[in-house]
Amino acid sequence: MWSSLESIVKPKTIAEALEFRQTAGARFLAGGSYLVSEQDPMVTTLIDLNGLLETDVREEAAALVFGAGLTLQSLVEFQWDTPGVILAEAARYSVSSKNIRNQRTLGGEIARMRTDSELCVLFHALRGVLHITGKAGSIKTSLEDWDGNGILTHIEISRKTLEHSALERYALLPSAPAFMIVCGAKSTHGFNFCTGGRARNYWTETCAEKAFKGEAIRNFSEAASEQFESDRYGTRAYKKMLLKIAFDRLREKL
Amino acid sequence: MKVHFILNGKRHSAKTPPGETLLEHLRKSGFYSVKHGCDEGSCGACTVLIDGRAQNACLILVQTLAGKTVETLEHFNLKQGVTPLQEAFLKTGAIQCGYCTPAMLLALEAVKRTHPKPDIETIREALSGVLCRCTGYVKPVAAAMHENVTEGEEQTGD
Repeated sequence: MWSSLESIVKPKTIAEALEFRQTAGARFLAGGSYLVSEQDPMVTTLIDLNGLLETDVREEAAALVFGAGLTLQSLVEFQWDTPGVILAEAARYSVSSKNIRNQRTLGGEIARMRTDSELCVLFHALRGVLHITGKAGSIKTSLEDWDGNGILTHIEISRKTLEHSALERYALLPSAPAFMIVCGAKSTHGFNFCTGGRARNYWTETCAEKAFKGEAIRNFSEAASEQFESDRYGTRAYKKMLLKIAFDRLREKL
Repeated sequence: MKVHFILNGKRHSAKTPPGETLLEHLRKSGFYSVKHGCDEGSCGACTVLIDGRAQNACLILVQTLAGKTVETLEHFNLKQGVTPLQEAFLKTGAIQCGYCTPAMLLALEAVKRTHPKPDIETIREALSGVLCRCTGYVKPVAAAMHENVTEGEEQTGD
């Protein structure tokens, strides 16, 4: 029993949802798997966004646009052509339980910005664009720049960048959460990278395609390893070595 | 606030406090196949079907269920007695303490609706949300595969 909870409201429009959010102790509820397991005692009102957020994937010009209400299991089950398979793989790795994937939404996963979520790391590498609706209207922003305010309604990625993307991960078992995630994608600006896992923060970098070799890979491994601590998964030096191997593999794949 | 949803094929009205989870509500209402495990979505012992999909009842607030369809294992036993899948669980010895068994049966039932003859990978993935502390997964997977074979035999008249 979430005893601090006093009400669950069901807004009819996004504008109404934003209005409710002004109330002290109010939080948005999408899938609810994070919120209900944590049962934050400071939360008194939940604003149920189910039914307000789109749950489809559509193609717009050269981009794929995902409704924030899509469940992670929908990403797994979607009839992807070859390039989209990496999204299904990332969704499966991010949450190993199918039960939870049936509940958790893409918007909720992105909004949480967990560094140990393969999907979040991949969307960073893909330079995903977030469509946010706030009090002042709708804006598009990057994952790095979003301050968490407003409602995430869609996530947009370039189809071409998705076609040239790859994911590497290190975990004690294939089904266990990864302690290190490295994603890369080739865009018009060059190679984009993002690392995550049991890290303090994401590490992102972009580099020209031709420059991504030898010394650049060593420098990236050094810089990215600063986000990791020595822990039961290995020392920082060991993780630096794993990062270098992952970057080398990405170079081959991309 | 009163919320209306379909529970095991019947219209159900629940007057619950906003913070009550579906797990708490179902057990209070006598649906004991829904087990209380971790209360945080890790173990899946409280699996139910929401609109045909396996989900953890401990992570769902009753008041968010308006208009949805909820199924527990009691639904299948009322309709069919011992189901073919349960029979296969008995035959293969897929049950030890039995605490996670209702969850496994429901997770497999959900899969069978979309994949009448699921392959081993699909079966394993269906069970990924249910943590079994005693038997492991070899026998439940064997039971689901066994049921595939039995159903096939019945259909072809072998």
